[in-house]
Amino acid sequence: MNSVIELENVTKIFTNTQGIMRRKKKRVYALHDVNLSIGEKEILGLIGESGSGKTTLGLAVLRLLDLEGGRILFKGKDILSMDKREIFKFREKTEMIFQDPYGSLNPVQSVYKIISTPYKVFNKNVKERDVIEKVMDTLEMVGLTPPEQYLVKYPNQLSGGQRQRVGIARAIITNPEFLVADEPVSMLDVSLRADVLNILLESRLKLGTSILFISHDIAVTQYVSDRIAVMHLGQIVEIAESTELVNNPLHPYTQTLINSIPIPDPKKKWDTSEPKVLAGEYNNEGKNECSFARKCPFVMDRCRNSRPKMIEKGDKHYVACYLYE
Amino acid sequence: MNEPLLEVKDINVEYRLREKVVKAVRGINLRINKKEIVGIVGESGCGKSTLAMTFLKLVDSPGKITSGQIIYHGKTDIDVLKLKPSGLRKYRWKEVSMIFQGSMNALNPVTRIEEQIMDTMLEHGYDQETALKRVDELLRVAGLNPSVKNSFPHELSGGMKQRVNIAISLACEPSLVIADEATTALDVVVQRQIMARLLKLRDELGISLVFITHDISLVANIADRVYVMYAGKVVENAPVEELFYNPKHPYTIALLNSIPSIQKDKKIKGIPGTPPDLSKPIKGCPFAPRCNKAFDKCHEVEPDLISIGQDHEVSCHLYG
Repeated sequence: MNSVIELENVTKIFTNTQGIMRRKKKRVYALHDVNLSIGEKEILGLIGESGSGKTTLGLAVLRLLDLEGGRILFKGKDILSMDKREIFKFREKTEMIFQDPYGSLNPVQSVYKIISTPYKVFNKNVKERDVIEKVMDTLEMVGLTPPEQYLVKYPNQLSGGQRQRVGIARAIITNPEFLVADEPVSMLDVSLRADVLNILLESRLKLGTSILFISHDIAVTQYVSDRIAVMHLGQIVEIAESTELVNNPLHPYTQTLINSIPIPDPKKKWDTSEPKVLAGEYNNEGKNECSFARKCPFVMDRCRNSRPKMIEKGDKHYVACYLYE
Repeated sequence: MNEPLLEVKDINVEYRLREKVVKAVRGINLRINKKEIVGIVGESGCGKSTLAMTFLKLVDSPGKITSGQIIYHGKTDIDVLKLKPSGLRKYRWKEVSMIFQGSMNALNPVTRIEEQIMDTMLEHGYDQETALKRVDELLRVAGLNPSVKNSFPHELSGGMKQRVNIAISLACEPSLVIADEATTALDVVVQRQIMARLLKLRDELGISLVFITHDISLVANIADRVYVMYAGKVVENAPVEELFYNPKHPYTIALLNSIPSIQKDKKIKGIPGTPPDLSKPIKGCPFAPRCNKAFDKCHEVEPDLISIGQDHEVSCHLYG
């Protein structure tokens, strides 16, 4: 499989100044040596707890952040050393779907204006009639039918689920090759989530878009993704095909995560046993240790002195843990 | 086990706004037994939080409880809605307490944890000495190290703050704790820890719990009985296994079909349409416009909650 996006040892450091004199500096490794590739037409799920760097990664691959180290390749080209024309092309081929359907649409623009803007930017000499045609097609694709009805509406006339569909329509109208969907359903009601997820799956089939699907909800991620990467404190600790990852998690962090997911079946009721994690505090200042070492119930001396490398364990199943070396 | 602790009878709540009246809760009957864990599920805006507020008579202007009765069976039977402020002060927290939605922000940012837990107890008649002693114990029960009492809220993580809230909710030894979306903002691992802690408390202290959430998977894992709410009404209620294996109301069925599970490889389906606007009069069944089984009668007459089989109630014309 050819990869659309490739990350090589990507590192992003945020610096916080502390203290009254603003002299003390704290470096936070939001991304720490991340290696990842997303194939053509692939949906890669990225899961992890809040603060693990998921969103930072999503922004980085769209060239919305500078990096402290590493390279990001889009179809073999380094996105950070592109010239202006290449960046324009890159912007056309990559899009984003945001988490908040209420905050991400301009309240004083009509649905038509919102969706047509990116299309017009990248298709300068197109006739207005063709733009309308294209917008209607796209609206139909995201299930807002009949489309004529929605063209003139404003965001405040739409429900949360409809707004998120407008957000998706805006992202797919330029036929992007790569999409970042950052928690696209976490703010929607459960009954509306399923349709939005199905639309994402359909648009992948129709347009052949690769998607980086960022979420903290593992059940949702497994539903849409081909592969899942688990992120923890700025590092990828495990990658595998989604059913394999859920049924056979290897990394102790992934295991804790999977065991904590509520399963909608009363026969599998929870008991009073708490997940086995140590009560340590995480540290993301780039120490030379495994990111999970301070909470891991299987921690060894090695884990505190060096960081495990990603190794292949089983078919396309990669894990970074000394237990498997 | 089947002794009732709290009975809610035909309760109605309205929000009287300037230009409209929103009927948030429309005639709900509900019963919570001793040592029972009750789950209340529904979409946002279905009135589940408003309902929870009535248990403590916390509905405040512009909201108004227009009719209904809440009976609490403690040492004596209490008619909660008729309580005067002095009576309410003895009822709230000592009998029924609450863990609030967004309780990450429910702590005072400028006082230490110890003081906040103490305050609750001093206000409800504990003397200084006992209260001081109980702080350590409460923190331990909530799964925290007692040294946390010297911290300020901003020094704690989200999960730890939530545990402090659990400690506060247990401060005056209530028989019923209401958790309103108590773990929604937390990571799954922390959620699992807090749930395990609450389940343990039920076993050890014999308290009842009410879980209000939109996460139906979570309810499957902890509740004994589930109430499904839609548009201010209970549309179905049954013991948890009955509800999940034998759901009757089309809304419950659709809700169960709309959630992905890591254990099953099935196609999920959303529910078309949106819930009705509760500020407008509702004709017929409120779910009828979104229901794939709706027939003429559904658009005309609102169905009553009727009993079908053992301990299972549903409000749907399909079964009437």
